[in-house]
Amino acid sequence: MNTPSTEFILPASLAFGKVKSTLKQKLNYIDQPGEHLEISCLDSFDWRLFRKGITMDAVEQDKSTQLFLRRLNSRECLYSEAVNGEVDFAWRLPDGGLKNQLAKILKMRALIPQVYLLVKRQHLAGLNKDQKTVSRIMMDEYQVYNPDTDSYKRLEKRIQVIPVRGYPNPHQRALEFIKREWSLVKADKEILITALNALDQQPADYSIKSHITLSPEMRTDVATKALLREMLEVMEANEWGICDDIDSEFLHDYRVAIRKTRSAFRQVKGIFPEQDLEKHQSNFNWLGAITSPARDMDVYLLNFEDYRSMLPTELQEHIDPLHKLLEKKKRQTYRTLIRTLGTQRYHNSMTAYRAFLDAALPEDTNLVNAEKPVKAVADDRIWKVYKRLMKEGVAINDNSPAEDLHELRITCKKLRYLIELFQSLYKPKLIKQLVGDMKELQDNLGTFNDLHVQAEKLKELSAELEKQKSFSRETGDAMAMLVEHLEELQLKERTKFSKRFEKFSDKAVKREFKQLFKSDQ
Amino acid sequence: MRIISSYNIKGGVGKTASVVNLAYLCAQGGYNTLIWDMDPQGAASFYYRIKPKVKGGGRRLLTKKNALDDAIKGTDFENLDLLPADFSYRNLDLLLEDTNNPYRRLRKVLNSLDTQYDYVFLDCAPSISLTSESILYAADIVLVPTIPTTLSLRTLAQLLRFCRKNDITNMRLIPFFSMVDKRKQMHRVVLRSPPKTPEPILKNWIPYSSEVEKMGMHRTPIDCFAPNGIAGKAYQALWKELKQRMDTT
Repeated sequence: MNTPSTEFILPASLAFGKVKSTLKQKLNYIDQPGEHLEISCLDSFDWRLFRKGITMDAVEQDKSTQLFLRRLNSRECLYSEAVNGEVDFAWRLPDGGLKNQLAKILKMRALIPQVYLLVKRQHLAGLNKDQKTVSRIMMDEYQVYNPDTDSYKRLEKRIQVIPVRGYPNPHQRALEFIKREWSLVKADKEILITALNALDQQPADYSIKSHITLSPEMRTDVATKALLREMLEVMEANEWGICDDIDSEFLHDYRVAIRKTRSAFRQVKGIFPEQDLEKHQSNFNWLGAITSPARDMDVYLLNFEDYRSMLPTELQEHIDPLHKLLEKKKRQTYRTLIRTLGTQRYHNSMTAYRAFLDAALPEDTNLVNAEKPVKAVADDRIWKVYKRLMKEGVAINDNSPAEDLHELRITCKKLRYLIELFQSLYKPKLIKQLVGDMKELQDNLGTFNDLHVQAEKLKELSAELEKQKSFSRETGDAMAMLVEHLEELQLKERTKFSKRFEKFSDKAVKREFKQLFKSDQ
Repeated sequence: MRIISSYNIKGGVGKTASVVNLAYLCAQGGYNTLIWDMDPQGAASFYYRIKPKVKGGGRRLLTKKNALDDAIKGTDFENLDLLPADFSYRNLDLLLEDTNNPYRRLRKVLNSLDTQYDYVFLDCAPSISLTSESILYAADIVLVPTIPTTLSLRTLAQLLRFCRKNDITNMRLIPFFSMVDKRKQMHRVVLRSPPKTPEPILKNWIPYSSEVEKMGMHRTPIDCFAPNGIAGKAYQALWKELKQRMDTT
């Protein structure tokens, strides 16, 4: 296997010219044509590649883009491929290893340029007596683009010693010489990280997960405002991606933040004055409503290949009209949403909400929960919602109507959001365990509800398709079969409920909840 | 990983030149590429300035785990490595005979490189033997450089017959015309009406050119010293067509 290359930082006092002439003189290196490169460091908005220890560089060339997927730190190249056109989703790349690897990590997320670099690169080749290259050296001068100032910022110069496979000795000689001659220091940071730091940024600076650590004694109003502020930041961070329609997850994360905010408003009473909350609450209800149609279309499109696979092979191509209709509806719903996000109403409501979050809290207040320690309030609330969930769940039997399961799903979601909001107050291991216990039940309730909603929506869409001139009998058959299949799946999911709830009602799970949230224990 | 072998029963038809130039163009396209110089004469190794020597010889490559990994050398070009020739390859038939399932052995050995390379090019020695049969089983694509003459077409027909008779259906046999001299009437006639083959002969062809001979002097692929010459452009066009053919069907 290949030995990884080694990168050094060149001190400002040491010129490339000096390094070059010494290497040529002492180690039989020769000049090779240099190049100017434009490199975009690509990753998803939530840095999925970086979090997996991988980086992706896109080097612009005359007619195509050369992609390099590398291991972080060692720079070992895992895949490289030339592609034409824009690089966004993994599924749009040509078939092969790179596509498969990216698809596994990125899933539905698109690649976006996180950093843009200009590189002046010089190459040197170390030759043996047959004039064969047996070691390589690359000298790079980097500049990073700063979008805020529309200018470039110079970064440190770097020199990279690259082994040629099967020739370890010349590589070792070059490394030792460089260390001895100039006492250079190894680059301990990837150029991507150096570039981000130069822009006062950090990699992986976005995640839907909460980064706030609450202390148990904190006042509940202070703690809740911090959590709400974080949710607002998530919404603001995702707005541009919704407006530019980068991928479905911008809207997804935006809506998760809305739902968590609404959940915090509704679930934890007596923290803020009701009259203050009311108008923000109704604004967040409005935001939930205006984002819903676009998200629905995203979900149907994300599920589309699953729908297709539910059909017999001969009917599979006949649901293509549905795809077209969904695409059209997605464009329409997004257009409406983007227009709404640009209105004065939206702007004013968000400004007012931020002002509410930034306003100083009164030292003394009559609100029952405001001054209480946050852990006590969180314990109490989570415990109450858990008890309600158990009560609702126990009341459901095999003959209960779908509405009861729907209600239970909502309660389950409320509990999950509450636990997630206040998770930093508890031991991460225990919270992980609890979330795991809830997951199976939540998945069951979620799938049951989703299948019902999807079947109903597909009936509607089928009726719409029927009105189209190009509507064929096969498309009608495919749609009917799809609806039937979804309804069958829904029934199947229903039968799983009692077992899942039984598992969730297990004594051990009850004990976990009690230990964590029942404060008088 | 795709395995492409350049093969013809007949010698001197441009097998090595094809491997050296097509593998280079493949690597330039960003694909991790390996050439295995299987011809004991070691011409491909010579073109890439790599010593035709493998520690432990062919026997080690066929029998020891990771032996291929240890023997591979980097060329002067990014994404392009070479497994050098070795004089012991002249006995490859005997070495293969000693292994279990000699026909499939080569494929099995090459499969160990699956995660490292997108394309592996095999430069084969002429002849029809156990080694060549093993190469036919190992390859996904068998490229057959063919001079447009009656004699060369006969060997192409012979190869097709051999594959049919032995039911070798795992690979696609793709012929192309090589060393074409348009001054010769026979070449012109054959180019105009090529023989029918199961997989159509590629439209692009390689001319007889002094540039190809100069590769020995420069010891690099043509693209490095005469990319805009007739032969350089012909190889570029041939690679483009071959790549398209491989990707579409």
